[in-house]
Amino acid sequence: MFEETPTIAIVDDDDSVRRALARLLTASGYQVRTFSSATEFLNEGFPLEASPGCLLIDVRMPELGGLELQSALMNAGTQASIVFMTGHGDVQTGVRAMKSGAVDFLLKPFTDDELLDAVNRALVRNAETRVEHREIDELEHRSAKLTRREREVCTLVVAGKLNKQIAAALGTSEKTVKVHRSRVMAKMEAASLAELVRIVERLNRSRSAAGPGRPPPDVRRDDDAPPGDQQHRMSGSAG
Amino acid sequence: MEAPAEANGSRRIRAVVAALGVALAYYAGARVGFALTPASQPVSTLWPPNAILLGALLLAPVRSWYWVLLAAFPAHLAVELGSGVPLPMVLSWFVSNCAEALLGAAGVRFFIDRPVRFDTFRRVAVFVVFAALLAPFLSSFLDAALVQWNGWGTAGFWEVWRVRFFSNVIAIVTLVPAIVTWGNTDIASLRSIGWRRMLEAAALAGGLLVVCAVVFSRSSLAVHAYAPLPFLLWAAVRFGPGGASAGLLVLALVSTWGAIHGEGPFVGRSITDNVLALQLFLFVTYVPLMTLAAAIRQRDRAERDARRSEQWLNLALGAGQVAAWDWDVGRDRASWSENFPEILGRGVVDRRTFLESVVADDRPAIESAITQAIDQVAPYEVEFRTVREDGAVRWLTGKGTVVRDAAGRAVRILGVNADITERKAAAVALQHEAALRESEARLRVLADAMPQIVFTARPDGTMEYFNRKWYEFTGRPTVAIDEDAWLDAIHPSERAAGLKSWSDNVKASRPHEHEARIWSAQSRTFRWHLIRALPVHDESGTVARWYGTATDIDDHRQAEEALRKNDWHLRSLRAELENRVARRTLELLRTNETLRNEIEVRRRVEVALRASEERFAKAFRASLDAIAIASQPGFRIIELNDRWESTFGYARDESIGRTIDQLRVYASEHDQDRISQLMRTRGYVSEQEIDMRHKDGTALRAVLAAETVEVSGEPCVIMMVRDITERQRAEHEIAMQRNELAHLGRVALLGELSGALAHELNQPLAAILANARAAQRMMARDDFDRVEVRAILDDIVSDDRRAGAVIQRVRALIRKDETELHGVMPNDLVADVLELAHSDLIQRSVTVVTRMSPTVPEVLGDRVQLQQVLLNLIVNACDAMADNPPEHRSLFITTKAVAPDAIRISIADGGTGITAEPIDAVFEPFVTSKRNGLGLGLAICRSIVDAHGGRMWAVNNAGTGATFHVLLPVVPAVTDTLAASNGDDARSDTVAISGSPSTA
Repeated sequence: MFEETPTIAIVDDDDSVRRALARLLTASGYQVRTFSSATEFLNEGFPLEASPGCLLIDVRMPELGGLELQSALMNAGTQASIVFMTGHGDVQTGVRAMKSGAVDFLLKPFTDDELLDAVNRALVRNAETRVEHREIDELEHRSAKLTRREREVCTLVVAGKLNKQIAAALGTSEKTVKVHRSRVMAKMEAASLAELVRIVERLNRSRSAAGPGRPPPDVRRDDDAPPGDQQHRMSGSAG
Repeated sequence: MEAPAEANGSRRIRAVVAALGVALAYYAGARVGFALTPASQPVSTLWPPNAILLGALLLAPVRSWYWVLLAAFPAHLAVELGSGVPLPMVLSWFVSNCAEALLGAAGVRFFIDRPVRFDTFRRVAVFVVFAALLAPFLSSFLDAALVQWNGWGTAGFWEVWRVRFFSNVIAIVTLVPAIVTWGNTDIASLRSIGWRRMLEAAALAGGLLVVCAVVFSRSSLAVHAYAPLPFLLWAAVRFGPGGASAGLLVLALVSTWGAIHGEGPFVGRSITDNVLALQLFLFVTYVPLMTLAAAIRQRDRAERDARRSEQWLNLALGAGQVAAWDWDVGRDRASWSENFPEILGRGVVDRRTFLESVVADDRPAIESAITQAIDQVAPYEVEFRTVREDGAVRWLTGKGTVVRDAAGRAVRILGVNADITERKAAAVALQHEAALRESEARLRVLADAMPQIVFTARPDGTMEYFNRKWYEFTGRPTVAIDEDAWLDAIHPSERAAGLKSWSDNVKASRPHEHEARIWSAQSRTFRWHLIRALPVHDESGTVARWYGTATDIDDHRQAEEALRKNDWHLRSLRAELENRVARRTLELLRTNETLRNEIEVRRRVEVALRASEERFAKAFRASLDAIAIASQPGFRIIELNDRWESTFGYARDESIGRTIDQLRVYASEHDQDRISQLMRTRGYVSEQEIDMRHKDGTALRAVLAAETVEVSGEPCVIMMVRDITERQRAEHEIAMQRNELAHLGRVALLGELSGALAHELNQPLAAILANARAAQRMMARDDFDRVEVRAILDDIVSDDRRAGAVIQRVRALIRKDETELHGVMPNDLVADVLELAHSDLIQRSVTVVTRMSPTVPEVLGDRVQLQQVLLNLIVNACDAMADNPPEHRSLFITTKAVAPDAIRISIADGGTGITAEPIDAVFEPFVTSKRNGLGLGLAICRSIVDAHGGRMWAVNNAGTGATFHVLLPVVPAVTDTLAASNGDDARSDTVAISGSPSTA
């Protein structure tokens, strides 16, 4: 399932716990990297998007807690599969963690089965996410190829507008529209309108899910600024 | 004085003459009697001799009666014997005649003194009863008996008696008054009768004679017998008893003569009857007439007396110094003679004004004198002062007699008031003079006794008197008073000056002083004398006399001379002396002052002492501590207060006298010995907390102190015991409750930290589990790394320990142990607490910055409780910063030694700060800013810190947040054992923090 060995990042300030978990996961066949604090983790620049893996984060840590790390990652737009663990879990924290997309919330002390199960799920999610991302990226790539006019046409086509209407809306001829349309179809590599719609919807979904950190590509095209420079730093890709 | 011989002589002659007269009269009377005897009668109608005899007896003094009777005897003999009567009869008749005369005379003389006069009714009555009736009555018995015995005559006893009786009565009645009256009349008074009276008498006599002769010489009616009456009345009225008696005599004689001869109104019947009638007539005529004459004479005399009295009174009053008064007691009205106003010095006088004019002080005397007079206690005699209208005060005397009625009650008082002012003044003056003379005499005696020369001089300066000393000293004879010659005794040099000085002073009435030499006879020299004289004034202010002395100052003078010669010496000596005296005086004054101050101080001290004693006594009695005073040695109780009694149950009576040891108030003998030892060696015991015992065995916890004191000079011990059993119990309870509360606080705290603690436990548990499972997995493979497994096991063990430690801490906090004092390092304290709160701090994202001084010394305290305090503060600080952004949640904990004996732990946050006003209120119970907090945490913390002898307070930071400070005392090297026990010999106060009672 995995193209490469997933790496699990353990972030916990308690040395003993960190060591023990590392041992356990290693003994279970995973690659493990340990971090004593969230800050260390961020500074280390763990290749979250580049390589498969998941995070095993302790909620209660000095300075930057587990949840804060999660929101930081989210703000950065990084999709990471996180398994939280805590020595003292109150419901509120757990609910918050889960609501913000954690895979699981483990209460110490937990058995190895619980841990491995959660890790597995996280890895699977991670893999899925990666795939998803790749596909999205592909689509984005395709979408990026569109000119402005083409984008506009695309939007209207997807909206179910007739060529006639599109032409009227854009102030151009139907023929032009048709041309654009076909170009869009080609660039987007959509076999049918339905597919195009699916693609666009998918793209839209992914863009909106990414949050404000990820601006819509069409606006970016007109700017001279290189697309997604700052935001993509984490993922290490220059999209 | 006449020679008694002469008197005797003349008297004898008179006596003889009288005797002869009597005899003659007797004889003549007898003759007359014979003549008046009726022919056939043996007894005469009128027998004069007896009457004559009686008259003579009445005229003569009693001592001469024998002489009178003796004189009559021969006459009688002559008369009777000549008639041929036998001697026995004659003698018998004499005897009876004498008897009659004697009886009558005696009777009359008993009541009437010589000269006998019939000039009062009383006298006439006496005469009639005794002389005229009784004497003849009785003597006739005798006569009749004698006649019978003698056998004389033919008449019977009673006849003789009757005849004799009546004839004698008449004889006496008619003759005796005349005899006595005329016998008492003296020639001189007869001569003084004026010719007019003589004429009248003559006319009267003539008329009477004529009438009598007419009436009684012929036959006439009985009524004619009254013809002479007017004349008799005339005689009685005008000439009194004398006239009446004379007239009666004439009447008697004439009528009798007539009757004898059968003429007159008394005829016609038997001679006897006639005689009887005549006698009766005469008697009846006589008595009223004599009485009338006597009454008239009485009245005349009374009138004359009254007139004379009045004349005398007027004479006396006329002199002007006496007033008579008459006070009617019943009506209380007084009347005075006319001259009284003049005497009293007032215009109008009545009883009221009289009393008003009497000086108030003297009025009671008058009243009492009157009362006394009325009550017959004393005669009315009083002296009083009156004030005249012109204001002058006069002395008056009042004298009077009380006139009483028949019952003896006072009816009137008659009296006189006389002005006796002069007399009084004279008496006073006399008294004064007498006193003066007496004092003079005393003075003389004194003066003579004095060793000094004393003299007196008259106001004009002439010498009056020298005392004996003068004469002794000057050697002059004492016979002559040296009135003028005294100057000779003075030294010539001083004479002139002395005299001048003396006369000047006398003129000026100034005290005289002069030094002069006087001749001393003894030493035959002149000696210096100091002559002094003082004037003495009388009441009016003028000099009455000078009194002087002369004191011998010769020696003094000589000494003065000697001194004057050494003038400088004297002056300097004197100055020196004065100086010394002044200094001495000053010293003395100062000493006196000092002494006075001392006395004052002492007095104040005494007062203060007494006050303090009182206060002590009050304090002693009222003290809430049991106090006993015991004597040393032996601690014998001499005094104890009520509290002692109630504390130990020993009454005063059973305690005083016994020793404290005997009372067995100590719970342990060890304590007893220790206390005694301390008292012996040190003399005091301070604040020993020991167990003691009530009389009934109940245990007491007490604080004992003792001091040596001095009571009345004796060394004693005063022992004060405070029963702290209750207090201790209360303290114990408080400590228990505090512990309880602290425990609850801890529990609550743990509740708050439960999450953190759970976290702390779960971490190592998770590690252990993970490690174990990892090891199991490893070992499932054949190629497990042994080293790795060992490392795993090591980790497991240490994690287990870690967990165990947490549990232990929790357990420690939950534990409700009694407070245990140990040495605690503050820095360790902070570290432990931070461990406990570790995960909570992380959870809250609180950063802790510690600044702990390495030199902070150990403190004595209960680790758990102190941890509780710090934990509470940390939690509070985190709560305060809960709303801060995470980067502003910093907690600063510092430890520091702020004094040699104190350390301070401070916890500062950057939270909301303390809004309580005042800040200290935040430590109050139920003050909280937490939503769900009780607000007890800080209160409990403070109570823990206080129990440790420390202090806890809070301040708001300059910026944001607040800082809580905990100050704890550093205790020098105390061990557990020392902390557990208490009390030692050191005088320094040991503060026992222990909340647990030791060996209760």
